[in-house]
Amino acid sequence: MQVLLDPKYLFTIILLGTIVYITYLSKRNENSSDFFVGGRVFGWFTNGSAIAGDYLSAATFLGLAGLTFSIGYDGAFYTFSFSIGLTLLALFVAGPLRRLGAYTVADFVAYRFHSKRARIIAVIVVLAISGFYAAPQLLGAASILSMFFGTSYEFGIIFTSIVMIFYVGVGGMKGTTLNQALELWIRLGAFIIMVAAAIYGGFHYDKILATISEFSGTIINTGAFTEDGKDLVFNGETWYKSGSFNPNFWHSISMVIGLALGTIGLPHILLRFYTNPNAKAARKSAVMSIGIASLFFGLAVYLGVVGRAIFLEGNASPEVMKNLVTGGDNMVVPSIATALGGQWLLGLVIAGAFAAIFSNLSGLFIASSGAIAHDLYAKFSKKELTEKQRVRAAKWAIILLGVFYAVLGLLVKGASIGHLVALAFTVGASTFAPIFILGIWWRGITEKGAIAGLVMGLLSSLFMIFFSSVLPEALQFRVPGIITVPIGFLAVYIVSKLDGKVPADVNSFMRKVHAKE
Amino acid sequence: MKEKEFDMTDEPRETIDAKKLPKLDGETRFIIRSEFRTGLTLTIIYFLFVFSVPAMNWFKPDWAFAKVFGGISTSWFLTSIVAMVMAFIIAYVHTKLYERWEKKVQTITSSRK
Repeated sequence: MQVLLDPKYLFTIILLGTIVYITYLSKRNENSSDFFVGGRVFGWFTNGSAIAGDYLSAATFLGLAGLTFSIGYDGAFYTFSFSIGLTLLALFVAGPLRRLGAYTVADFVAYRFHSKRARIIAVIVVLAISGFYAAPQLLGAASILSMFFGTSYEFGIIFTSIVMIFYVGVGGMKGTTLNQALELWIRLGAFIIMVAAAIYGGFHYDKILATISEFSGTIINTGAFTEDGKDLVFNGETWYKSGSFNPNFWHSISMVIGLALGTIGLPHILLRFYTNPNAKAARKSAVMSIGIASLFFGLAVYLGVVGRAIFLEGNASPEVMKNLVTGGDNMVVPSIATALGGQWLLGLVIAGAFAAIFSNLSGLFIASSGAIAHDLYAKFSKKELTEKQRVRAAKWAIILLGVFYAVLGLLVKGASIGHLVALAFTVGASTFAPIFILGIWWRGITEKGAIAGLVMGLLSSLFMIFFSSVLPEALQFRVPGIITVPIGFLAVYIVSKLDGKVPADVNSFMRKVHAKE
Repeated sequence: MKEKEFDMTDEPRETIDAKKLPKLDGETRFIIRSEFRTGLTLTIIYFLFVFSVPAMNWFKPDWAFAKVFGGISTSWFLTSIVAMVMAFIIAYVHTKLYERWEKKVQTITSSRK
């Protein structure tokens, strides 16, 4: 009983209980429209919250403040690059995508070009992006469980996968959307309370930035936790300026391109716009989610700076100092919470971190289960499936994905959450972003052009992620958007121009996605 | 040539040489052009701001990291505060312009009828 009153257990149990309750309430998924797009009934507030919930993953909740803490200005710049994408999505894609009224991301590609081949390639890309994205979320969940509840890494991965299979498999898109909206407000609430506590504690932005930028020397009370027993050395001037992550201007530009356009290519975010009742609600949802995400990003950078200020003061509790020295980037937010508000705020932050992970993973599960059950099984099945069979297929796909993601989660132990997510963005920016932008706005895109864009975008991204070390140093980008995104766009354009065979109903398609409702 | 109705299917359908593609009807062309022009104008404004930040950081670091308010430099201010507000404003303005433009299209369409 005493254990249950510990805030971290209490808040986590409340969160899990709420998820079970909402999932149970929304378990009636009679047809594929209910399961994949929640019956298209969600208004701008709920869907806007859910989009933000989907977008603000563990990488943002834990990673961005952690990056700002460790690399300073470049962490803030990383956050800034993330903040651009949803706006581009709102300007060019949200409304037209909703007007098409499909179920999955691959539907867009297949219907636009009347091509089964394009559908299969789109499914492969969806699974690649969601794999890159889901693995670090599971890693985050397992790390938190291990750090705060003493479980093993493997247990954390399996436990989270089982929770997600239940959460998405039973609730479908309806339960997922409501849970995502609720979870968004839990973690935003946690951040707002942390910021209020920091300001109350005298950590004013202008003052702490001045102190940090002028700091040079050793950080007291850190030697007890370092391997060589010596206090850590810190140079505030380097931290305060650009250059610790992006070594030159072109790396910064590459990061902006990769992360900004990557959002347009994320299947779980694109899918959310199908759940609105109409295009107007889709646009408003996008604006709402941008407002929330922007606030969240701003607070994350500030909290990263607060964390650095607390660390440099060196008088936080030994537990906090130890976590800041040895815990890595992902432990910065929980450590700041402990320093500012003790165990209660830490409990809320842990619940917020789980909320971020569950929210993001559920979006990935829904998007990928649609890719397997709707895009592959239902479309390529020889017999006509009933609505019940389609929903059942989606549930089986979720179990399959749970196992697949769990295996990936086990393989990425020790990797950086933020970096893996950036790689998912790179694939999205180089594959779906060209197809969606050009597919919606240019009549000249052909089936072969689209397939070439998807294949070249995917292959170039994978090459730049796994084999960039064979290239000259100047071409080794951490976020290689500057190379892979133009390859994706150019492949679509050049092959379409050479091919020249556009679908005969392209004008009707344009009318469908652009005409006023 | 009679225009094909858009069919939500991935079964193969007829294709046509892009050069022989009939023009879009006047209303759809107007909608696409004005919607795209609005989006593009806002994107250009937004990206002038977005790219100016790294340009300033790398080519004018003395300006970028000169402290303007306590320890907050121009770059820190633009990157961590202005950028977040800007993302929202651009999307909000786009929605408002779109709503206004939608009413205009409605007036034109109903006056034609």
